[in-house]
Amino acid sequence: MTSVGVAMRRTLTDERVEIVAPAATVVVPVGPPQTRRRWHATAVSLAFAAREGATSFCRNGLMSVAAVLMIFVTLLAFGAAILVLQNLHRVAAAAEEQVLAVAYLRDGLNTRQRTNLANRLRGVDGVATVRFVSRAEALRRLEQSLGGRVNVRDVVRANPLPDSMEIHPERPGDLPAIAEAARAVAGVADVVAGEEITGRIDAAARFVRLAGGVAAAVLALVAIIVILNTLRLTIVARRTDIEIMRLVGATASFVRRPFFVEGMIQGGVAAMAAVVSLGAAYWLFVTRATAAWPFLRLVPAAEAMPVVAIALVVVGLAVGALGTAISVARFLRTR
Amino acid sequence: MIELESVSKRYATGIQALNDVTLSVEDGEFVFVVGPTGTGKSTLLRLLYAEELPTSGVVRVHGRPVDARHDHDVSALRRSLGVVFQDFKLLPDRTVFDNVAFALRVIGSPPEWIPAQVRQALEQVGLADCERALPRQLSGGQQQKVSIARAIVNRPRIVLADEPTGNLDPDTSWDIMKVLSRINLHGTTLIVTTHNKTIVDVLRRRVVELAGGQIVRDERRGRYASDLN
Repeated sequence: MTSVGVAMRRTLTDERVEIVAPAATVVVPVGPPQTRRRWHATAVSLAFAAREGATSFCRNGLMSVAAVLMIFVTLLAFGAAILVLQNLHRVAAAAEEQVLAVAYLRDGLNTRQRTNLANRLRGVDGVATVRFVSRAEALRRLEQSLGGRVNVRDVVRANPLPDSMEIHPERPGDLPAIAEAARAVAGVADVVAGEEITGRIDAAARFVRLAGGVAAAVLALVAIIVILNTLRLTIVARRTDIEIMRLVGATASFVRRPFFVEGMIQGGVAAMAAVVSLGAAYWLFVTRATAAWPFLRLVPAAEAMPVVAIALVVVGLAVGALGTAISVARFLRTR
Repeated sequence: MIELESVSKRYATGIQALNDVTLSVEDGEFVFVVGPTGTGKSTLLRLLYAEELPTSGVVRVHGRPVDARHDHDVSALRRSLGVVFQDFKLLPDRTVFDNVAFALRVIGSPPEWIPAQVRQALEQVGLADCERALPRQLSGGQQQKVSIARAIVNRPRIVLADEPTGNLDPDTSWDIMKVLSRINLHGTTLIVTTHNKTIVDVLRRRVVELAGGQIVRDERRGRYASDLN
């Protein structure tokens, strides 16, 4: 036996006497503290989750910054895809707007006859709207399309253009049938529908929408996977915290909550940063591009960004919260 | 009271850690679990705090079977236990006070109740003056005392210590055993796995020896090695 051992035995014996003696007894109650009302426990638990989540976000500075940056870059790409999709949608919609049949009217129709003719055209299957374009308006449009540089009336004394009806179909694919029906209406001299080009525009618009939708969905999926993996790494780095929380008796939901909050903070901060950066960059792009190429019909930033902001914040918060919940769950299983 | 009834544990790797172990520990007992490395000492403790599930047999703590199927049962069980590890398992970026308080915060203790409990636990282990220190500013022995304070701050009826002196020098090891003994004297059941022959031989508490996953010796006031050896 070592001398240290002897000293220890003596010390322990002394302490036993000291502790058993009533005057020196330190009463340590055995068992968990008194049970409190459930609502109070829930409030304490939520307060702990919020405080711990926020504190952890600040405490794990470098890891938090890395996670936020990673999520930020991913959301940036996702947001940019939404902006491209919105603009493609606009181009497709603009192209579809051009899909119309123009029914040129015979000369000499009076107002009542024109009204009757318009009503008959409206009654044709697949017709969305019918609009009368007077020969005067047609001339104005012609001059505008020439950029105001040419005055047609300087060239020809009388307006050579006929009155017409612009017929917009409900679906671009219906146009050939509408044009055919319109030709049979009394008072219509001719119908120009450009069926072939209309079919191409219709197909192109469908393709653009589908491709844009698929691209945005793929990017959303990539964003989710990247964010989940980033959050998984931050959780792996914190496995000791989780292990200790579980060992001292925290319930799985209690363990999850602070990470849930932390994940939402990471996702939320990254989303806000992405919205601000993307908004500024897109506004700048639209301003400069429109100034350089006035014919471009880009979606204005004020119109495009609300959708992007909502999508990014929702994806950032949801994936942040969900990602941490999934990652933490791996460490909560009992073997 | 702790009971193991014909408990066996085989890991997915095929290792048979425990084989038909039956053991009973009364309230307030101080038990050393000894044996060579890989004989199932740590597995025995892990079964008690439901970190592992037995392959067969029944584990009872406080007279109730350990049921790890329900999260709330596991949490309730662990709140009635304190666990001390060889590697302390402290959170390096939190102060001593926060490490100990963490055990109370994560079980939803009322905030106003926490400071007094933490200080009482730190006083019990002799670290009342160190509550603002970070773990890295403490010696190994002090870190283990923080770990013990965290284990007892919730006033558990049972404390499980897995090689608590494994990383410590002899003098510090005795210091830690002094703290653990004091906790046991307050009525807390203590189960300690150890390879420290001197401590076991000097304290002469109940000794359970494991070999090949089975109990080969259980003596009321035993030594590290059997008297027959």
